[in-house]
Amino acid sequence: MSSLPLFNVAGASSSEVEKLLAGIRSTSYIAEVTSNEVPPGESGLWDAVVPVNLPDDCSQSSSIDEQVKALVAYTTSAKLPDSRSWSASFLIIDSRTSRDGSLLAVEVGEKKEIDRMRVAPKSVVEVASNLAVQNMPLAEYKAMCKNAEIFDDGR
Amino acid sequence: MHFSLPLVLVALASAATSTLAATLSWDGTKIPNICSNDLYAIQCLGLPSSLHRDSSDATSHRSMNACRSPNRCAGSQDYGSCDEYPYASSAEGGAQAVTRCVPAHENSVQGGTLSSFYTRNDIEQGDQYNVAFYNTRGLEYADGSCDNSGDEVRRRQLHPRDLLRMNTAAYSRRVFNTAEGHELVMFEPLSQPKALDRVLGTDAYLATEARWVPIVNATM
Repeated sequence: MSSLPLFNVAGASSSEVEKLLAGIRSTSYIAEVTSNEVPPGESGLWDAVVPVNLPDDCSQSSSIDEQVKALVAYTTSAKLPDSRSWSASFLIIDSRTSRDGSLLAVEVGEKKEIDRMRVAPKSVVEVASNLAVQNMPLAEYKAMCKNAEIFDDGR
Repeated sequence: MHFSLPLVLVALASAATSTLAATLSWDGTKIPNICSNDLYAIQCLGLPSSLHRDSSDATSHRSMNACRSPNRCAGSQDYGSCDEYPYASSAEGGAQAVTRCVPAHENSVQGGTLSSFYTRNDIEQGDQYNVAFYNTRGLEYADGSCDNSGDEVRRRQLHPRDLLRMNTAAYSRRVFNTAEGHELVMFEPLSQPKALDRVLGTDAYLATEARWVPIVNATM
């Protein structure tokens, strides 16, 4: 599977990012997908989301739209670390994350931003693994939660 | 529209040599609507049961099929998500795919399952895999019927290059048994009798359990 890069534009500390990642991975979605037959770490979904350093041209002081634009250019330019396969879609830890825990998911296709949506940590693996294989676009998740501000599948 | 000719050529060239391809096995009790869509696509329209990963073209594949944008299923309360077969992340996906409105939760679980399959089986770009089904009793189209209930939709007019990509075939249904008693339904091209005997002795990947089980014999 291709992993979705997780960018930290809010300046969260490494321990805060690790804590957030642990929350993302504690989702019951992994157990549902695997019918609890394998440990989550061996499920193939453990690395659905992986933190990546911000590129040089993405400033923490820019507007979120400018940041998203810079990150779309980055994830579609084959400049991500070559240690794994990456999706062009990505997730952002932004200023709002520290308030309500939600992350911003950005769907990218054909080198353009297609859509964006806020996602609760425990629903991130679900959304990311579907974006990675283009199985469900964000538009369907928005419909699924009746256009709620944050997609939270209660997992 | 981007058209990945090299991947299609790989797909066509290797269609008859699926010896070591992984077998992705779907549980009909977990994703019944999606399995019905897949069964219809393969046995009724001759769409490939052997696919090749193509993540680079997945976005265009998704946009070309009959799911359309905005999603044609969006108005349905219970079946609001659009499933397609062959998958958007396969070289065989695209305009020719058969689509069906399915429960969003079911489709969402399938996406994670497919992602997990690619990772756990080291399926890289261009790699081939076979699609199989078990626990199919009671599923629509599982009895071999091809009477479209009206749920199966594909684009009415296909571009000649999409027709070229379809690689449609008539299939015979084969049933293989695993060491744990699963009956795997697979589809073998009539032009390649006994080709699927190659899966005997290999492992089937039970997608919704993320584990492998040996295929021990065939009953059909």
